[in-house]
Amino acid sequence: MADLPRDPACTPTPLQPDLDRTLADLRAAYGDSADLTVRRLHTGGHDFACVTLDNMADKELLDRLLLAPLQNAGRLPRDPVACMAHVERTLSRAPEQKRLHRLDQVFCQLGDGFGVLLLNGCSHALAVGVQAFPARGVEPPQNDVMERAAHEAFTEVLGRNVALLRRRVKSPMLTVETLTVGERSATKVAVCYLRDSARPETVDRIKRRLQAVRMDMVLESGYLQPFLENNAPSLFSTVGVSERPDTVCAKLSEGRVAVLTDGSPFCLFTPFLFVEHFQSMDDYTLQPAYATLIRLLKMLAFFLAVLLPGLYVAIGEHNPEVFPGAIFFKVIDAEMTTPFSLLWEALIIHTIYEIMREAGLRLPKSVGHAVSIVGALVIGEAAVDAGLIGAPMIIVVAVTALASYVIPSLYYPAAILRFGLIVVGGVAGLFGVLLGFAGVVTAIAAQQAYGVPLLAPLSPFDPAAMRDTFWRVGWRRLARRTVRVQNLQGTDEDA
Amino acid sequence: MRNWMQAAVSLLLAAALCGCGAPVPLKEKLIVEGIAVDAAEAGYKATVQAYSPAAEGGSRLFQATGGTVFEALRNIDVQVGKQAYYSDARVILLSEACLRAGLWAALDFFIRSSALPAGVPVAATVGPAADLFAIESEAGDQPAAVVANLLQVNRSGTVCGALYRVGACLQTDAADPALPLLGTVQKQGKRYARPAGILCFKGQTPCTRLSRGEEWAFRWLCGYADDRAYPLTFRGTPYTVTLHRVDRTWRAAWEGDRPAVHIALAVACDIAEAASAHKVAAAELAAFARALEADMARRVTRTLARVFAERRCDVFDLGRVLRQRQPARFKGLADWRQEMPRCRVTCAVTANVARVGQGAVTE
Amino acid sequence: MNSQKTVGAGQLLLFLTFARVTVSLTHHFNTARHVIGQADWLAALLLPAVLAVLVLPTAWLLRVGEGRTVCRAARLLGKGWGAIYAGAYALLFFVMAFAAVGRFSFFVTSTMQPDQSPWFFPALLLLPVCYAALKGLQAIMRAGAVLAVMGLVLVVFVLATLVPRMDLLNVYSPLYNGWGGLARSVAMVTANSGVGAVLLMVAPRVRGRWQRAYAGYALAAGVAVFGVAFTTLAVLGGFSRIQLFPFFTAAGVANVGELNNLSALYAAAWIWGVFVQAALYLELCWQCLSAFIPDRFRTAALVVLAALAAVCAGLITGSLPAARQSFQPVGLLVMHGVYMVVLPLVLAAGLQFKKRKEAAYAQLDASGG
Repeated sequence: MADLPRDPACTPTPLQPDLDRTLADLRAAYGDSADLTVRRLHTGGHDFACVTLDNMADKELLDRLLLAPLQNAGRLPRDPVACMAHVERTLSRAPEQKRLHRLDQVFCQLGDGFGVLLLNGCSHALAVGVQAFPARGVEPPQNDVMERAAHEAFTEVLGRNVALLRRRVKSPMLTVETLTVGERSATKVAVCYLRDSARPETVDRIKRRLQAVRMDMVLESGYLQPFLENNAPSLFSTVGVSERPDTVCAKLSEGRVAVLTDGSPFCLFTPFLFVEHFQSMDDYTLQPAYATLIRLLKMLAFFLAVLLPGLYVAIGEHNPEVFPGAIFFKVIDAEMTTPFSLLWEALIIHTIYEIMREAGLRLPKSVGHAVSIVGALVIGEAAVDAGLIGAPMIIVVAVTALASYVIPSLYYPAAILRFGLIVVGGVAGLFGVLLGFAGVVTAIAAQQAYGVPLLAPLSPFDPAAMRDTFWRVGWRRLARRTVRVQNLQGTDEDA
Repeated sequence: MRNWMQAAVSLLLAAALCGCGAPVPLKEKLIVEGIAVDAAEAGYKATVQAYSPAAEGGSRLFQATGGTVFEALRNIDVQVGKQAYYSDARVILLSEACLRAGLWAALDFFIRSSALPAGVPVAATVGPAADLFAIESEAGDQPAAVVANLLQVNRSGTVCGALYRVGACLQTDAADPALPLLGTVQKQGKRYARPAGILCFKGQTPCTRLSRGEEWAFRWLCGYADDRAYPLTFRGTPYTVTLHRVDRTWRAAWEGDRPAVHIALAVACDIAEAASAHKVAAAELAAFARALEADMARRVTRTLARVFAERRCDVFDLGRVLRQRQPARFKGLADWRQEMPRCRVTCAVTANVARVGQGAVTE
Repeated sequence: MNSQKTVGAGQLLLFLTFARVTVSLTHHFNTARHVIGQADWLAALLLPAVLAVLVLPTAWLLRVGEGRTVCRAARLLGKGWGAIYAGAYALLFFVMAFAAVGRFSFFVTSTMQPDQSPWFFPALLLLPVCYAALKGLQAIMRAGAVLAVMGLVLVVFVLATLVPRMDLLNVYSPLYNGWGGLARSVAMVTANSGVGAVLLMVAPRVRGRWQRAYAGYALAAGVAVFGVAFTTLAVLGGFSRIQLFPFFTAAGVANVGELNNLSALYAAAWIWGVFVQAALYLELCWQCLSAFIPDRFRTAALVVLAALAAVCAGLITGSLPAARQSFQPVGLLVMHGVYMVVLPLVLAAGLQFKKRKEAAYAQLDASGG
């Protein structure tokens, strides 16, 4: 088998002054791809070549900003380097242009939709910003749906996402540093923070971690998320995800650092604490009393989603004396006729539910409703009528499923914990579930996000931050002082 | 190290899911709703009402005998082939006959069992205790549930003898236990449960039954709430008084060498209806109240005289009052039961007719 | 935050209070064969004063040792002293760990799940306890604070639901059986207050003033033990005398709406208390043993300690005499007396003497004599 070619994008090769050679290198690198467009022109005594990738650059704009002025330039400096400098400073009308010295830089800029101007005899090229690659516009968010907040979400274009942040934070303290990750994809990543809010050490650590990423392709922010988290695997991430620019701006003002990835509408931000799962933009736009109610409801929903099935199995199998009298007999009536133990019932029904959920996610919308009907009929009605599953178990699954969707960011940890606690509850009873819960609390308490305890401000307790944890005080009080995440009690400054 | 831990966790999971350590499922247990204990030749006969949705009426009765209550109940487990589950037991019934062998002997198993809730009501029965599990219910409830409801305060006027309260009385020489007494009555060929008074004990042995009139005094003195109607004849006319609250306070002292307890009862009530066409005029309210006070005080005094002084049965908390208020003197008594006839007990009642029902007052 | 000061003062207060409340939940009054428990509630009110006295040797040692843990302070006197104290306190914390687990296991197998094997609950408990110990002191105290708040809320809730069932005639003079009864009760509540020994290892790591945390604990412990003792007595009266776990029985009497048995809440508070205590004791045991064992064996050492603790706890659970022994106040008093009073006093005196000697030599050198 012939050896596979090495990726020239991975090798920094300097540009040659010989135009023909450079063009030959380009064609060879792209494997004579059909979308590589080269426009050669001879003007002012010099040989130029303008290279673009088809459907990535706006040709009309390129012509107006660069080619037309070049052709109408008349006399040009004889020296190629001086000529290129003249083009860059005087002739080109592009507001965004860059000098390129290496071939891998040319590949990057072509991939970003730039037009690249080469000059025979000059060992550097000029990239002009004429991007026009296909991308969707700013649309409402799909996942972080809010009752009263902006209907704008990030898109796949990094520049636009940065603009969405800039529009909301006009302070010059908002700093955007770009890095490139992915040896083949050369994905641009923007590290955004407020210089007067974020800890410099945290920003440096994040940048170092991103620079240490060794991957061929970075296609989504999720690829980078593990690199920003702690080394020890954990169910609860120390990196938050949002597709809302308003949410990210709020996080930036609290001293967090945001990471935008080109090609992904999901922004990462860190440090991300456990209590933030229960906070949303709506909390700050609605009345404080209602916001507090919703927040407490979310916490209750989380506990229901994680603990309810396990508790039901544990109490039903090991400690039925805990059931109130009326429920006790309903449970017995249901379980008298079913062949499985509560543990196996719970495992079976929850597995079927997860299968249904996955099926519903992947199926086209036109078929999706059929899944719901099948699920409701098969599981909800037929299984109970056939005596395979008890009716109380169906209610438990239904409540659990609804509760788990109240906080989408906690869905996956809750699902895993739920299964674990069902097994533990079935084996060890109520005490097993209680110990499992204690173990989960310990696991969360052991984690830190860039020195900030994950359980903050609950433990270590921070009274100042409590005004926006279980409840949300009014804006008059909240606006008096912003609590920065790095100032929370128990933050390890040496971390 | 991580591989070892992963292997250990996998093994544990497999062991857990294989079911070898699984408990007996609830559906394979005998769910006991009520326990009745009667005397038998060799000791005790236990009857258990167990929940059985497949059976007619939703429950089944099982019986067995044994030398002790524990043995009798264990024999039921053996007979049925299921482990009894007592945590949902609603009531314990003890026949008067089996109580003659001693209250402690009858209750020993129940007091020691941690599976049985300590607040389960205990009652004595006139006749066989098992008969109470053959009663009818208009609402279709299980017999044990019917009996348990009957024993709740404010429902029928009888008092609730929770297991832990009875047990506490058995642990002290300053009080005697009392149990509500239940019986059955036949109506139109069907058997129903009925309250039959209060059974008082002297130590562990049954002592006397309180009459219906004496039950009033018992409830007032022991602080059991009751808003039943109290009959009172005032100037030859029968009236019905609703007692909303009866607050009791005591004063304990030593008069020379004998103890003295003064009981003060503060009553809040109203005249619910007039049994006859006569109304209570506003000007007569004060006299009405005085009449009520005198009647209640008389009832208390007579009850105490018969039960406390004559029968030497302290179900009225008097010993406990003395122990709390005069601990040193009380401790110095050789035998509180011997002192009971010498103890001077007085009672004063203050009635406040707070509201008068519509139509019962004329201006 | 100084990376050495990993424990908040509030966390310490919560841990000590929760641990003491947990012990009071487990305490059954009749072990000392004294009268019902009438004097226990009064003894509880005296508890803060007792705790204030008990902590004096610890406070002196921490001052003289300049904020070092007891093991490190002992090393100042010499390697031999360091080894002896490290071994002694390692043994203490190990015993406290398996005693806490064993007591709980004995409770569960006596009351709620009598069918269960005596080895089951020690094994069940020591798995997450080992995990928590591996996470370290900081994680244990942080998680412990959360569990302590939840557990204390449950206990207060159960106590509140019992208020309507109180019969104050059950409560009479605490001196009914004379001063001897009160003395025995004071001895009992003191014997169950050995949790203060953790100060010798944890106080140097506290952010803020550990003295305030301890003072708060002393008051809270007095109030909590009083609440449990008084409520149990007022509800059950003489019935508590014949119950192995009176507060558990009382919780079974409480009801709220349709929930007519709150013993599960009581068990939840207890098991969380045992979890936090056992995890901390195991971690402190390791910290003492780290004088002999290199740090790279920490994981293995903790796993072995947890396994041994499970075995010892299983032995307590399976044997009534052993269980009774673990509740006996005399043994507990001796143990806590030695570890909280005698050993710290000896060490503090030794360090004080050493300091004075060094100061005297320094003065001599300075004067050229």
